[in-house]
Amino acid sequence: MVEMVVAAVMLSTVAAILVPGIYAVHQQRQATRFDTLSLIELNNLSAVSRNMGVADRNTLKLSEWFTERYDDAKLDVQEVTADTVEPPLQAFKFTIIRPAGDDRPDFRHSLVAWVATQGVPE
Amino acid sequence: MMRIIPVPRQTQRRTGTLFHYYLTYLFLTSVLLTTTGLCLHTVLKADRLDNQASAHLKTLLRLEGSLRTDATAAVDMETTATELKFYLPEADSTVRWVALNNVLTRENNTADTLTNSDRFVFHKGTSLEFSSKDETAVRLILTEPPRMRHPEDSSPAGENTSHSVEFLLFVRPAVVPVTSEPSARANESDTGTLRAAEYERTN
Repeated sequence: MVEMVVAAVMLSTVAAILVPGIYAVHQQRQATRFDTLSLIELNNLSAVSRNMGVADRNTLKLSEWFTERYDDAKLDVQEVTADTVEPPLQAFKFTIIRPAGDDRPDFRHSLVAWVATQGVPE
Repeated sequence: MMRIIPVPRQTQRRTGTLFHYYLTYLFLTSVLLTTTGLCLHTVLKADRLDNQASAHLKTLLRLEGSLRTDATAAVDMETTATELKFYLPEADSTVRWVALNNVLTRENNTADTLTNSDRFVFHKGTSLEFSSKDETAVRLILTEPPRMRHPEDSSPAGENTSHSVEFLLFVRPAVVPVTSEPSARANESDTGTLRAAEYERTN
């Protein structure tokens, strides 16, 4: 009986340490993957907005390949007002937001792009 | 003369551990060793998968950096489903991207001589394809191999479970130099094979 108790305690200790550790590694890997893929998507959006010459929050939307992976992700486009930005350049901040769940803060990844609003984009 | 005196038989109690105690120790030890082995296997497998995922993401980032650098410096391009060619007038060179199965190769050619090449290797089963809608936009579609379906997966059976990554690139359009003869310009535009060095930069 004593041996059974000792073995159960040891197994419980190992499981209590190992399972959260493996889960944390998995979560970290998911976060890194989202970080990388959202950066690619943000660069795509930046290229599209530069090509269009404007960053319209109504016309810009997340790509299909990205929403297939992360269907709960949302895009936020904001116009950045800064003294250093002069016409015809206009700065826009693209942010991809994805809820993390479990009362944790949302995943947010942002990219500021300078868009030429007049003439041929740089 | 020795006499042999018979020893009377007596009931002796055997000392030591009972057999079923040995069985219990054996069982607990085997369970402990098996659990330790499973834990070790899980940790090593998680480490291996983490390294694979990390290498994949690093390759993606490296590929994106190279592609966008080339697209920014390029004027004009040619594309097929498996090949993309950028013309870089400032470097007086052409960059050729070739997709073959799961390997993407970047070849930098100067004066028709291969100066350097780089390879981007992805998981086995990954497909790479270039797609172009017009002359200035090209899309690289990287489709990952299909994943194993989980038995509790609620998606329809016929649905493709493979994911993809797309890189959208824009290239500055080439401008035909102004010539005195309109007919010559028309012929040049029809061929569509003028090198970027013959073009003027748009800005």
